[in-house]
Amino acid sequence: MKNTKITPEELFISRRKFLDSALRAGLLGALPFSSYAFGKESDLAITAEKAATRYNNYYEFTTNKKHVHIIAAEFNTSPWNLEVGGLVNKPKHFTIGSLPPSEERIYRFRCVEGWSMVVPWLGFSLRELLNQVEPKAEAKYVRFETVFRPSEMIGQRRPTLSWPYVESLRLDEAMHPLTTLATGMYDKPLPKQNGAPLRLIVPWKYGFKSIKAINKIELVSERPETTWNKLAPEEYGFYANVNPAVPHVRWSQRREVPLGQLKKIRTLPFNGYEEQVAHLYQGMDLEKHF
Amino acid sequence: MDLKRSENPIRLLLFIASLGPFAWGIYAFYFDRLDINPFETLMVLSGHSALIFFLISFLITPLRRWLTWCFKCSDQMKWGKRLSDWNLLIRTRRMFGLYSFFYASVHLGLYLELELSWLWDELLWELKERRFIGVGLFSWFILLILTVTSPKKIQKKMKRWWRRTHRLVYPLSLLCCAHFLMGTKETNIVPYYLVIVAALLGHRLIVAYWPKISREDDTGLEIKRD
Repeated sequence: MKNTKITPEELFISRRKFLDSALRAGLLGALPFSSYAFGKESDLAITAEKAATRYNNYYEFTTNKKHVHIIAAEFNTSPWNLEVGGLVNKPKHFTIGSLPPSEERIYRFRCVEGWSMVVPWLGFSLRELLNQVEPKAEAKYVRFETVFRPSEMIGQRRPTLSWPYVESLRLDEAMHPLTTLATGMYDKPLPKQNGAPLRLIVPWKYGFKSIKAINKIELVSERPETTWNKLAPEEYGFYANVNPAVPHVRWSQRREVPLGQLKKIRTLPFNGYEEQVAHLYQGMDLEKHF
Repeated sequence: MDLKRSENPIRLLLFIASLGPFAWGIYAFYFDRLDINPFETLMVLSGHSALIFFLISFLITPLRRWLTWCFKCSDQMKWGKRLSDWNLLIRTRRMFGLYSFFYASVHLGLYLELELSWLWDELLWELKERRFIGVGLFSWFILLILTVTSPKKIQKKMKRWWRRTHRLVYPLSLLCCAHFLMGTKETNIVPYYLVIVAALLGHRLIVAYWPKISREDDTGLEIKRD
């Protein structure tokens, strides 16, 4: 990867388009017509902040996406302790202040449920953090854990999922520069409903891989059990790469609806990051290892 | 006031009220009230409307039966007999059934337009891979058959075949529930529609196999009066 900024060029262009269309929307707003976006032009526009922060799959609080922001308001994120350990030479504790510096990264985000958004995250590559703790040679997977705090995360009082939420990446996936630990979005610290204070963003995988409110990262040698995969392995694969060729019984994986739009658009292989990440899976049958 | 003459305003009122979800959808579309995921909002609104109107029409036969039972003793009272054999209920049953078809068609149309942009090869893929889509489409076809055969003229022409055809509502009730439940995420399933359908189907089973309370005149057709 040559560039330090890894936002695909088309997204920078779409950003300009977004500003453009926002201007036009401002003018059009005065007219008594619906302003829902149709057509291709706005497909890659940055999602409205209000949409991205009011539509959250965060079962630690509630299964109602639109209510998460209300219930999560009481969640206490400071001080925060991130423990990074396991098969590493230098296990380490981090606070939010001692993490590597964040930069803006605009990525597509594709939920397994068939909706998507484009979010300007603030974050850094996970590998910067992993390099600090020096993974041992026998480390093959990275295991992430969400904090378990049912006093505030009231959804954890019910066994909707097995708590705490666990996700995992293969080490080479975790070391990929696109794999991001996000501390903010839309130029602000991460809202609580979006996984404050620290969440994972893996832009080429379905959203459930992008675990929220992480307080433990562990390097391990065996593939760990992950939450959704354990619940329904036929529906939620371990890899969970965005793949239009692998169907889901309920949700179309060939099409997605960008939040705020009416019509669905085609879903791209690896969520549009094929060029950057396809080499990680060379020789693998991705319809089997979905 | 004659009860029969007052039917028309009541039916008109019900007709207009039943347009409510549709009117709300149109309003929300034009005034940006469709929330964060307008696609989902419209699909949920049209789908639930279709299911709810189906349930209302499905409820009417048992309701009539219970009304009959409740007003049995009031036969001698003014309107007592009339209330128990209220043809208004049967007529509104047809209206609610047609509304169910209307909302189901809106639901299907929105799906084809917003989800698939009328790409037929996509639909074939969907039917193959997303089983609940096939269940939904099949349910819509049953509703179509029921709708086409609903006018009085056709009802009379079909004679006893009309009743036989319209028994399709029983499998249809289960198919609708299956479509709804199969489309729901496994962690979010609350089978309230299925409970209602099970109760209404159960009621019919009991009635059918309990000769004391089965009624000869309960053909689902209007009761002729001299």
